[in-house]
Amino acid sequence: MIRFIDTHKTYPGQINVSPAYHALKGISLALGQGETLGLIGQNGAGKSTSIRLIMGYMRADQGKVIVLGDENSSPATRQHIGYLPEISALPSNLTCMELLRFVGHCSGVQKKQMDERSEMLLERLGIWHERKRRLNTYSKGMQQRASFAAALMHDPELLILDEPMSGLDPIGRSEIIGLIHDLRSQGKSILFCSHLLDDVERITDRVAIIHQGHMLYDGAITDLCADQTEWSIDMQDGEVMAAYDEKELSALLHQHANRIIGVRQARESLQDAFVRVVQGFQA
Amino acid sequence: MNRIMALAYITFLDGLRRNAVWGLCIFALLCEVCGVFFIDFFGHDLGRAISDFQSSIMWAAGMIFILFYAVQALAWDDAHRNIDSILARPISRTEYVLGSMAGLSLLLLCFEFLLFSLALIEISWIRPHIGEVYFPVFSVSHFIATWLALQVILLTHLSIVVLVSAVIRGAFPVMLITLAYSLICSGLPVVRESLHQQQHADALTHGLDSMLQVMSMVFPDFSKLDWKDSVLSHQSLQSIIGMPAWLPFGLIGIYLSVILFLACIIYQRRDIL
Repeated sequence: MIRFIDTHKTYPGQINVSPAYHALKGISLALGQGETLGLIGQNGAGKSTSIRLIMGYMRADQGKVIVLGDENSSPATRQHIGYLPEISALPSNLTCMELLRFVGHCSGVQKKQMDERSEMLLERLGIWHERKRRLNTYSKGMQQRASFAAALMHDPELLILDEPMSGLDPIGRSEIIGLIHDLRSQGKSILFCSHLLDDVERITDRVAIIHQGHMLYDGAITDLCADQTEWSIDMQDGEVMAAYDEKELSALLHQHANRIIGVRQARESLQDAFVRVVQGFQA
Repeated sequence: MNRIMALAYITFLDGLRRNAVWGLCIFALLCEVCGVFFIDFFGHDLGRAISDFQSSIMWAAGMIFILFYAVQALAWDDAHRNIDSILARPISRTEYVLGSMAGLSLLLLCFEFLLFSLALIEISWIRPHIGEVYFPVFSVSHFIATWLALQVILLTHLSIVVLVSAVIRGAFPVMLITLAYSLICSGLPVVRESLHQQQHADALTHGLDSMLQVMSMVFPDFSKLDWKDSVLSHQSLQSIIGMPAWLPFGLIGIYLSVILFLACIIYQRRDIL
């Protein structure tokens, strides 16, 4: 679906204002059919640049970005892409329905299908009753939901989600995560960026860490997050005991053999693993 | 074509719902109504004064629309990343340029048509109330032709806004450059005329004249489309302006196409940051 091959991108500098900025320094990445990938990194790491290259807003200086077999992200290719921008930049004087009709017209969706899909999406995203209000009267979370509906209007094969949880309350975040899971189960390919690493863990099992334009890691979260030498022992009465080495674990297992219902080896969180990888690179 | 129409429609709808556009519209309509008071100030030239005044209001309101609304609308798309949302759809950059131009043109033409209608009603109302001697001739067809020529001038300025917006980010520089373009277009014929009136033409003058001639291809002489005088005449339009009426329309049409073509090329080549 998406392939970055040794991609470089430099933003030109401005005289007396800022020097040229090398945003991507030879990154390579691939996203296959039906896969979900979380692109994570600090601010200015190169995540948005990568997405802008995928969407064809910019061209790579070196290397290639191939999306759905197309190197230039032509309008025909974008017919199969649903994009949710980080900032919900919508024509603010339109209503949500007008926005969806515009998206439907541009994507060649039939009128009947357009109406059905609008209703289904807006119901699912909880803004059906607000569909006739202008977008500039929406809260940030509602604008994000409207933007999400617009991204899904033409039932795309590939979804590019830039900070999909931005501006959403906890319930909204759960709903969006549920929706993304549904899209995954439908076989959609999803690339998303997020600073909220807990949400990343809930959505995907594969991440790519990008830092200062370098790709530091691309693989499964389970491989990234190291097993720790710490065990949690679940007891029948709900008590949880901790063992910090194998000797201590063995002793506790002997001592409470008839009460133990399970033993779990603690695992590093994605947050800690991310910090470790980034700090390792800087060192 | 569907995508251009869809984009033009949302640009038009968005503009129609902006208070600034309605504010400008109401202000211009009020200014036109003020033309009624001319009855007390002018004598024999009342017809000329009133039709000139109405045309000037239409021109000024159109220029304000272009410099303060159209420039902002395109800069807003860029600065607030609306362009990201639009180009995320299967819309090519050429379609974006043409759709935006079509939407803004439609809005401008509707606005100008409203002003034109009021001007026509006002002139038709004033004329019977004053003597034949003060307002002897009023040609509706010439008034329509004058309005159409004015719209062509305004649409050319709008296309310049689209072109400059493709090259430069930010509303203020685009506005300044468009204003400079307009001033050069008005000033160039005056400079050429004064050069022709010089009695001692030397090589330098000839060189300067050639340079100004080349410049007039980039900065067209819009005075050729200023047909205000024809409104008070029975003569045919061709005899008043000294050329077939379609000719300046055709030339400006070619010019406008070239400008939009360049804007499309630049949009296709630039990075959208």
